[in-house]
Amino acid sequence: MKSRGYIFTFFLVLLTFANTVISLYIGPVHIPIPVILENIYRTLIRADPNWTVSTIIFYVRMPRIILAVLIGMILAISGLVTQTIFRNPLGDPYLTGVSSGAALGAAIGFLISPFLVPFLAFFFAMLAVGISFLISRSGGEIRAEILILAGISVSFLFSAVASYLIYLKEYNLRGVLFWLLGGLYGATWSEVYYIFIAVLIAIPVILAFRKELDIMLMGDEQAKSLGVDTGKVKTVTLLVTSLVTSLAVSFVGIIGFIGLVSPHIGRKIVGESHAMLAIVAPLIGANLLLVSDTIARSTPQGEIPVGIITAFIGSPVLIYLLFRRRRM
Amino acid sequence: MERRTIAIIVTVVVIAVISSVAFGIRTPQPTSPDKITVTYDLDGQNVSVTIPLPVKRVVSMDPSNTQMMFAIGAGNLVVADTSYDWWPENATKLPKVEMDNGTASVEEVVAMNPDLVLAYGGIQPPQIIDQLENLSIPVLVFQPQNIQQIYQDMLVLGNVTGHQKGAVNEVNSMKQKIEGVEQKIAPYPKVSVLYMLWPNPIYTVGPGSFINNILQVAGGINIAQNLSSPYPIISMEQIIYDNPQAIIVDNGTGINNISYFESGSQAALWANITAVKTGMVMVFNVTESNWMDEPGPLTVYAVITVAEFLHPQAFQ
Repeated sequence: MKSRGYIFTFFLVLLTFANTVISLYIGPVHIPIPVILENIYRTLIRADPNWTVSTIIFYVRMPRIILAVLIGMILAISGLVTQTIFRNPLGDPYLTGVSSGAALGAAIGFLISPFLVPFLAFFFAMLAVGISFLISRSGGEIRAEILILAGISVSFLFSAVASYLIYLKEYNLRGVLFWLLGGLYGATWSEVYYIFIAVLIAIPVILAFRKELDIMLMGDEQAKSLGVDTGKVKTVTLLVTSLVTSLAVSFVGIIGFIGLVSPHIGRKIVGESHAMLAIVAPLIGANLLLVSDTIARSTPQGEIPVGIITAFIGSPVLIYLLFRRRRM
Repeated sequence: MERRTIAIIVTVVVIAVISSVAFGIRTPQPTSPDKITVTYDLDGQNVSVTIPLPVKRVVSMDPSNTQMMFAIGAGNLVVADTSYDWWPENATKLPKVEMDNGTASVEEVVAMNPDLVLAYGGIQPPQIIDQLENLSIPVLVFQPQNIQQIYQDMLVLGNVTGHQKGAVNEVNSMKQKIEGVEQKIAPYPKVSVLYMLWPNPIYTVGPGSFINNILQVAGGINIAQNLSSPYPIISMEQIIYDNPQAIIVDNGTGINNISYFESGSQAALWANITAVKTGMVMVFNVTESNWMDEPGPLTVYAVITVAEFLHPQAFQ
């Protein structure tokens, strides 16, 4: 299993690079490959590149492509941790209240000023997560089975308030409706920078807990008897993934399915080991979101919400894998 | 703009069925003097509405309709309108049947005891229109998609309310003003323009939208006129590629002035676009946005405002 894992990881890294390069060529404006290459070269040596082409390549497509890769990674690693900690195959990164918290923050943001939206979305996402954690603390430890219910309750509460605001002020809150659909249309280099730092934090932290997470798949009691500080593992991994997911959501809205499906695909191929999964799942998430977003931004109808594409691509892949498992 | 963008689906072509052979209105069907039958195409289906005469009490469920009623001299027949109504001043003082969230209360409409209700296609939920029709209250649904259709709708209203003369006068006056603008800008080359309804993602107006028609009449070429829907998302790279000579920003987007393009977080994308370099950026105030968004008599001001912005030389 292990050597297969290494080969697969290597393959995924290559695939990510290939996808990135191909996506650079795809977009609503057709630019021939030689023109792209020439302008990349001219930009690099500062030799008066064509402004239109170099802006489209360096300021529109590149940040968006890299952001798709990084956000895909964040959603996948968060989904992986959620599924492991809750021992629930339906776990996704939004389970602890991130998405509805962010939605409420966005709604309030749009009422004040659209430019406050990312900050308030992030703040309220973390607020929702914080409340869920507080509710589920007992004896100094977060109890997973309570956290899942706390997350759902808090989600409903925050969504209710957000829906009420949107219903009442639909006139001023049309921006929220676009935002809720999720999308990478706003990608700039500054967002890439923040999300890159988030990835640099999230993946090493989860890797550091890889053995504990493996053991926790057997259940809390088992893990404790084997000397795992389950309280610490849960708190740290869930807090880190909630933090980075909140950051991702505050930039690109709520993009579904990547966090749910990527860890499953990873498990089918490299098994349950978190040492492998914490690398493989993010790479799968990166490719899924990148391909989805490239399709979403290049359809003849203009741009369509990326969540539609992630579900279109993600669910058949998952169904295929489920069928394969049944035959085995 | 919001209400239009949120729900514009229904295509309505209204054909009047009495008098007024002018302006391409269909020849009148023989109708008895105590009622009038208006036939129109609602989302591909032929709808026929019979309205008992005389019409004395009208409830308007959209500012466009209210404005048309007042413009043709039938404003005194309007007994209730919406909380969106802002022109003319008398319209703001009437009882309201539609609240800020866009829902009209059927109970409140019925309580007004109207002879006729005016709706706007795609804004009011169809259930509300059905409910009113089930209560034998006639409903006319307008949805002008260009200036010609505003003229037609006004003439229909004139016929239904007995203000034929007022309607013809208003239509002629509008035509005269718009032709005046067209003559002034005729010598100048058309200006490519981006109309921003929303900045992120960038929603704009496409073919089949009313605003697209205003931009054309006012001497602009909408860079999104080849996209496939009336209110599409336009990609940033398409904007960079098309390099518009002018940018118009709708009210309430969070963009206050040209500094969003010159020094905002996305300035790297916008800074070299012709409109930004030459300062040809206009952010509409609330009134200007309303002129653009509410097809009716005030559309004339929308055309003048856009034409003066796009072709300042023509108005010196």
